[in-house]
Amino acid sequence: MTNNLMPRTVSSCALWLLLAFASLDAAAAAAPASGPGFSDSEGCLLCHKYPRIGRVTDEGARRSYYIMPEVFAKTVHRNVPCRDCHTEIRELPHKPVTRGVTCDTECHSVKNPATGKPFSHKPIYEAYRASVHGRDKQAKGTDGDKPYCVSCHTNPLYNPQELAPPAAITDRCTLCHEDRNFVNRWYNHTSRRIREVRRTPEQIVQLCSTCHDDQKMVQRHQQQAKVDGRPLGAKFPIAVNSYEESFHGKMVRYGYGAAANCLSCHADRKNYYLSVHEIRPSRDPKSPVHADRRLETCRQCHTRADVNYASLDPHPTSAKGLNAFRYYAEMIYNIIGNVVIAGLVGLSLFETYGRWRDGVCWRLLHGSSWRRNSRRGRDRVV
Amino acid sequence: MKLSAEARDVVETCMRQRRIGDKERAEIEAVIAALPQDRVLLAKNVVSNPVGDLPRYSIHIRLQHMLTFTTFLTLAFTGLPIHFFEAVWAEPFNSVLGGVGITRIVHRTIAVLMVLSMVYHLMTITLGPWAQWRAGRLDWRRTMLPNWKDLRDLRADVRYFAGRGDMRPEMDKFNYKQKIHYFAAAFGNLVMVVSGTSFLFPEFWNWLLPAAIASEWQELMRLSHPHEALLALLVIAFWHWYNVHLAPGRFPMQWTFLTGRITREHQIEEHFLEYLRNLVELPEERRAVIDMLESRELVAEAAPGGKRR
Amino acid sequence: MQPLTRWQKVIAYAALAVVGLWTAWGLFAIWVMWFDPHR
Repeated sequence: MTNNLMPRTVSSCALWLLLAFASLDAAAAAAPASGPGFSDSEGCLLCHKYPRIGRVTDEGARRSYYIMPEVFAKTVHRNVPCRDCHTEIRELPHKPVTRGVTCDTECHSVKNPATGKPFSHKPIYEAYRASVHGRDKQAKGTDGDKPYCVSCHTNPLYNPQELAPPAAITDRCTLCHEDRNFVNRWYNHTSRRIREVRRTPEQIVQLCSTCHDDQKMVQRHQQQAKVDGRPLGAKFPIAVNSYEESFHGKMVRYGYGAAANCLSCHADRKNYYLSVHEIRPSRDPKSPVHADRRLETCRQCHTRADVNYASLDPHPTSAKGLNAFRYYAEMIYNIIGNVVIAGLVGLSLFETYGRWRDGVCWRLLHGSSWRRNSRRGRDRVV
Repeated sequence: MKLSAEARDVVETCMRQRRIGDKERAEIEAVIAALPQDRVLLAKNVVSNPVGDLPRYSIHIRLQHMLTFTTFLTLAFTGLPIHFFEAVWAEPFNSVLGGVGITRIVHRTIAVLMVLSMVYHLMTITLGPWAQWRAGRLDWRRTMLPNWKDLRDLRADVRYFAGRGDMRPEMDKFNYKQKIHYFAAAFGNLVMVVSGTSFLFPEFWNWLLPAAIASEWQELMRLSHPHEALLALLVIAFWHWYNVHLAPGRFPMQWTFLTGRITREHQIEEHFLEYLRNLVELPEERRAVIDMLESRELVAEAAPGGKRR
Repeated sequence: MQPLTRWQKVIAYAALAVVGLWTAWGLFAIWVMWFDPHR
């Protein structure tokens, strides 16, 4: 009789389990924002949850389209539904994407609480487009070397060092705002801006060097500038090397973040977060490193600087074309140094040879003196 | 020994300045006459105490040397690892003191000490000769000031080394080698101090200098400081240390920097005119050299009384 | 030249060793800079 009962029990257990899973699924589908904060209300994760999802481009590059919801839920874009940025997607499964996401998209869902309007990165995007780095997402020629938004902005995690918002703070907020998840997300948003999450000075130098120290990139731009007949900054080809040789570069490398890094001079300290997107060439009068603005830029740190001080070169170089004085000074120094050393050491050795011929010698254990018999026969008597 | 004109002048000046009386003068002349004409023979046969026989450096000079070389080496040991920060040998030097933040401070502090030592030295080299001049005892040939004789001595010395001369020239208290080294070190120190101040006080130099050269000046100073430091180090290591530690006759160490006294042998060989002054000024030196000459039967034949004094 | 006493030898050879070690380190540093300047 147990034999008869078992299949029934098993199958009814299985049925219960299935129902349980089904209801969970339904619950998940029907109730957005009940988990860690990332909701898949549009069903994108149906495919994009698989680690191997991706494609190989015509050029042979591999692109991964894998999304890890538990990671994405901790990033700054976690509240933005997929299609607010990926606007080309109209159906499931969707057609191949052609234009892709550009960062000036306006969100439908996320509103700017201050203005009530849909949130957008458009103002900064436009400012960036007007700067020396500005480019389209699909850029042609040397513009392709310029950084697009995602070159620097990598959709970072909220405060990776912090595992959870501190209960001591969020307890208080939850008293009135009731929803612990809401409070935690709000805490992340503000605490990220209060903590210093900017790149460190060493990281800034490294970031800029990724391109500006790439000799091939530099050469491409020099060629292009020649073809176009437009000027390039004199220090452009040697920007990183000369900076590393300068006092500022050395201080930053030795760990003194207070010294000037690239953005300290090439971006305005006033409204810094905007001005780092508005970097302009030094010939542009708005640039902080334009000749007319250099003094005030130096004065950000060197408060007693005067016009002469501002003429000191933060990108020192010995290249002949750029600083002939230094080129020749260095050459003369090298010549003098080598001649002096060779001359003096040569004279010492010559002297030793001459004295040795007359009978001086080394006697390692008893000190040295005129003990040997010389070739010229005027020797010690005893 | 029959003295050359130059040597005779030196002896006469010294005797006049010391107000040597007639009796002592006769004694001195006798000793000089007893010296063999061949200075090489003389130098080879004198008995010398390696820690020094004859006075050469006052306590002030010895202190200044001690200060200079300790500050110099410390500055080199802290400065080179700062300049060549990434070099593999620099890391232990930077970290042993607690990181480059500390070596920077040590470097600047010791630099101040070096400047003070230079001031001390300047006082010595001005007040010393001034006091001598007041006492009527100043002989410019005994100072570090270069003159044409030094060039003649260099030429004669090189000829001797090449085998074309019979003896080394009669050189004075500070011969061409000391003068080269002294002025190289003085100039080097000056460059280091000035370029150091232009690093520490760039606003001052920019205020001081006209606009046209302010930037060039700073570039020159930035080049000078490490270059001059390296040059000085190389000169010290391969020229100075060779001459005071490794050269035959000095090996393993010349003691003059500690005792202030130079060996008889060295004095006769390289500073003979000063040796003559030692004979004038120090009766015990006259006795010592006569004893040595007699015991080795080297007394010059032309001396009055032949082989005996 | 009279021979050095024992203590004089200790001092003199110790000074020579210090100077020699310093020079050896310098030669090593120069060698490194000559052949691998950005190490």
